[in-house]
Amino acid sequence: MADVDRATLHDRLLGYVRDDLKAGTEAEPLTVDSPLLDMGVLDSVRTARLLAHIRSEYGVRVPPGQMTGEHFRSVAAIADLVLTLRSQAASL
Amino acid sequence: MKDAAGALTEAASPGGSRTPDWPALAATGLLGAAVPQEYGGGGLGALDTALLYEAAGEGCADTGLLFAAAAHLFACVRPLVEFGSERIRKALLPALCSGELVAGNAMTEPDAGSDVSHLATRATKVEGGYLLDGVKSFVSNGPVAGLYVTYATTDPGGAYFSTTAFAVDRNSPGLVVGPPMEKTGLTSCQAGRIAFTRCFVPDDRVVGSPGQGRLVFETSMEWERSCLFAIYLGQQERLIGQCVQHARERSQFGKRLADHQAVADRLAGMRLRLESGRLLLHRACAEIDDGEDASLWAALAKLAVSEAAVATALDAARIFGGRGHLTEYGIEQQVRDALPATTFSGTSDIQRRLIAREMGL
Ligand SMILES: Cc1cc2nc3c(=O)[nH]c(=O)nc-3n(C[C@H](O)[C@H](O)[C@H](O)COP(=O)(O)OP(=O)(O)OC[C@H]3O[C@@H](n4cnc5c(N)ncnc54)[C@H](O)[C@@H]3O)c2cc1C
Repeated sequence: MADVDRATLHDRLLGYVRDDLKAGTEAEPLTVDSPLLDMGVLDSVRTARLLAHIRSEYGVRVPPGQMTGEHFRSVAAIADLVLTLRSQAASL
Repeated sequence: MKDAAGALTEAASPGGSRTPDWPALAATGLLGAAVPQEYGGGGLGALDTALLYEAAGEGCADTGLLFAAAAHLFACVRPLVEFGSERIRKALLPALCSGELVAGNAMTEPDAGSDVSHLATRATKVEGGYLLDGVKSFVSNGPVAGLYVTYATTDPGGAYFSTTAFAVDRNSPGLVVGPPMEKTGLTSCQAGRIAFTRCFVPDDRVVGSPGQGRLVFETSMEWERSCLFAIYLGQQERLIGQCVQHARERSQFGKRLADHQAVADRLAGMRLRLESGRLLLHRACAEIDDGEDASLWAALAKLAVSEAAVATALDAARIFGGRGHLTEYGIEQQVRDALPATTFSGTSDIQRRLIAREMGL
């Protein structure tokens, strides 16, 4: 996948979390700042799916050291993590 | 390795349970096999470690003894290798490899077995560390261990990041070790409850970072589901060997048991199960060694090998006929030791769920 900017990444990740991980409701739609952990979206099954999605879609693996609540608390935080990992991979 | 493992059982009565001789287990290289050499381990990868446990399983008829070593290494020592701070590794790994210090993994709770996403055991942050409160059950090596790798809820709203892993000393104030549970199989590995009541654990005994408990546990389960189950490949190899010999030696209706097609077919099925499980298990280990996500292969291997172990132990009991039920032949012990394999490290139903998840279902 070619380089991706933050806004596009926000849209795409938001779409994935909303449609594939079934987060948010019509009354309370998901935003990039919605608290994914408090909402209980990221249980172990959906976390595993999300990690697989990040790997296949964005070509980066989240290393164990970065697997913390801080990096997964919202779509915006996940997007930041993906961008950081992609830029690290590119500079190798 | 086969001979060394066989020698481990010399001390006790056939069929009976033993108390593991930890330094003797260490001397075979089993306790620290997958620990870097700088900490006193064997420096082996997952595949070589599995081959070692496979050979031990073939050589040693007391599967419980090897299970004790494997529960120590894969569910307790490996998490410290992969997620422990340098301080933890330096302080604990050499003694864990030498058998001076024995470890037990304390995840399961009376109300959290297959579903460990909501642990009742809580860790409350206080100055300099955490206070643990809760009860853990089925802790293999629990009654004899000097160290527990345990998991507690630190952030109830943290979803995947709600739990934290801790390495807790047995002599911590507020930690009570329960008596051994009476069980039917793997009797040489004692299991019991551990209760924590305002048990203080210092910050430097957090394994990984706070909130990473689930990740630490899942990573250790990949090692268990592959390397630990290599013991059961060895067990099957040994049982098949015994059955082949018996089928050649004993005759009924004027011909060898081996010449009765139903018996030969049963043995062919046993071999097929063993070899299919072995390929899956080696593949899972190779994925771990390559740094790949091994969860699918580990679940496939665990499911195939544990179900094969049960089916093959039962088949062996049939092939031995009445003798299969006599303690002196050792077959009934193999059945009892195989049965729990479909339960611990995640039941067969749970492995199917993991496989389905990996298939994107
Ligand atoms: C010999 C032995 C050693 C052990 N050692 C340890 C140890 O060292 N440390 C430790 O922490 N634990 C240990 N355990 C505990 C073990 O991990 C649990 O027994 C196991 O995870 C199952 O939990 P449970 O017993 O509560 O069964 P339950 O979770 O109550 O399951 C009962 C049945 O329901 C099925 N089931 C449950 N949920 C689902 C689902 N979602 N889909 C389909 N089926 C489902 C299960 O497959 C099973 O058939 C050990 C157990 C044994 C037998």
